[in-house]
Amino acid sequence: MEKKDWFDSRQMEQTMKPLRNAAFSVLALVVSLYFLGDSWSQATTSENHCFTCHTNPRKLIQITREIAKARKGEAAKSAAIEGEG
Amino acid sequence: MAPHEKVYVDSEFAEDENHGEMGCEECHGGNPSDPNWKTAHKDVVRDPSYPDPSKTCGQCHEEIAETFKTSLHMTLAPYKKMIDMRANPEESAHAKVEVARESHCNSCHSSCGQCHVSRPDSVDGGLLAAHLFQKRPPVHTVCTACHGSRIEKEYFGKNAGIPPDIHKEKYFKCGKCHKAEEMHGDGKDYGNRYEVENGPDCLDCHEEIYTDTSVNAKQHTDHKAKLSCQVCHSMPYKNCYACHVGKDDQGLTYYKTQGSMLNFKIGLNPLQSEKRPEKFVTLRHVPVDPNTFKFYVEDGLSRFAALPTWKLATPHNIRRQTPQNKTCNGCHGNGDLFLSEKDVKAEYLEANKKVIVPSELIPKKVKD
Repeated sequence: MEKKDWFDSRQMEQTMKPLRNAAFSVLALVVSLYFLGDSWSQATTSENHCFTCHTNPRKLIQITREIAKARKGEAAKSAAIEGEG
Repeated sequence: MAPHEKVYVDSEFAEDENHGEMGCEECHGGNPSDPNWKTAHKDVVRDPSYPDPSKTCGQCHEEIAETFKTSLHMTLAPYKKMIDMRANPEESAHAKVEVARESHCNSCHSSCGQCHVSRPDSVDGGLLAAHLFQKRPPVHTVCTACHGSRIEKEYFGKNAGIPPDIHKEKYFKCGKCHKAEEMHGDGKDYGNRYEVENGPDCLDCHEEIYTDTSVNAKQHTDHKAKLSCQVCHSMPYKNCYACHVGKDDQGLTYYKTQGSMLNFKIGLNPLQSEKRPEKFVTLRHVPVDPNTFKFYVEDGLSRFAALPTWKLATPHNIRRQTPQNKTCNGCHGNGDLFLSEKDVKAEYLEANKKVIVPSELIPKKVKD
């Protein structure tokens, strides 16, 4: 009788082990997704404006036109240059 | 390039596993979270690799960033050395020459970024491939953007009647001969580019040329150490004579150069050394004249004649057959090829004494 009890508890432990491992894995996955999602949402809220603007030709054209308008009349290069450089 | 093209960044740059993973501000400064472009650009550094690349490129490319401090593309050290030798030693005049040199000659420097990311500032900049880093700088938008009027025209055959360099016809780009080690400097302070130890050497590829089994073995052996390769294999090349610099009414710098001339002059080697032992070399006229800096100071180059006005040159229009090597007498007895007193202004005869070829040294005509 005593021997059978010992056998039952061992059998039960062997059955429970994979279930317990699976539960831990799911828990770890949920925790990871929670933190990953949090950092992803942070990244999307702090947008890199350098990148979004400098990869957008339309925006760049608009801004360079603004700059050109502000600098109207200013020569970029001297008109006195003569000959080969 | 249109203004917006100069600063357009390819979104693919974000996928550059080496450079694209860094935030823009890590190299360029500024504030990437500020949506207002005007305030976001406060303290932005356009070229973070100049003058000191150690805090940007040098974080990974430590050795190159260190040696690059001595690269002639960065320091332009020979300009200073040559100009100092010709400059007026009087303190205030010399100071004005320094201002002129800094404003004009030194604006032609390069940097890590101005070869591998953008065109050099001296040719108005602009990103090369929308900020995608270029391991090998492109020839036309980088190398010949600066080395244009002489080297580009020679190498690509743009001088009327002169064919391109034979190496160009073999599709060689600049980097084939001018290796990264030469461009990046080696930590030594050279007086001129011909001293640079890892500079190009024809023998690196043509190592068999002085052996018995080479093409024209006898000609090559007979002339070895007497003539530089270019003496036999260069075509006529460009010589400039008078470059004057100044600032216009708006304070913008300008230069004015008089017309150049295509000619070919063999002279005595002014830089004879173990590396360049040949007695005869090709010479090119320097573009400066005594009044180059006259806008800044009247007698700035008072010691102009301290150095020859004809200097060692390695023209970039090499051909297997040239007018001077077609026959023996293409060169022998052909006095016009050699720099003589009649090619030099009277006031610079003394300065050029060591490069002018005395008539007795011109090889005599031979029987064909």
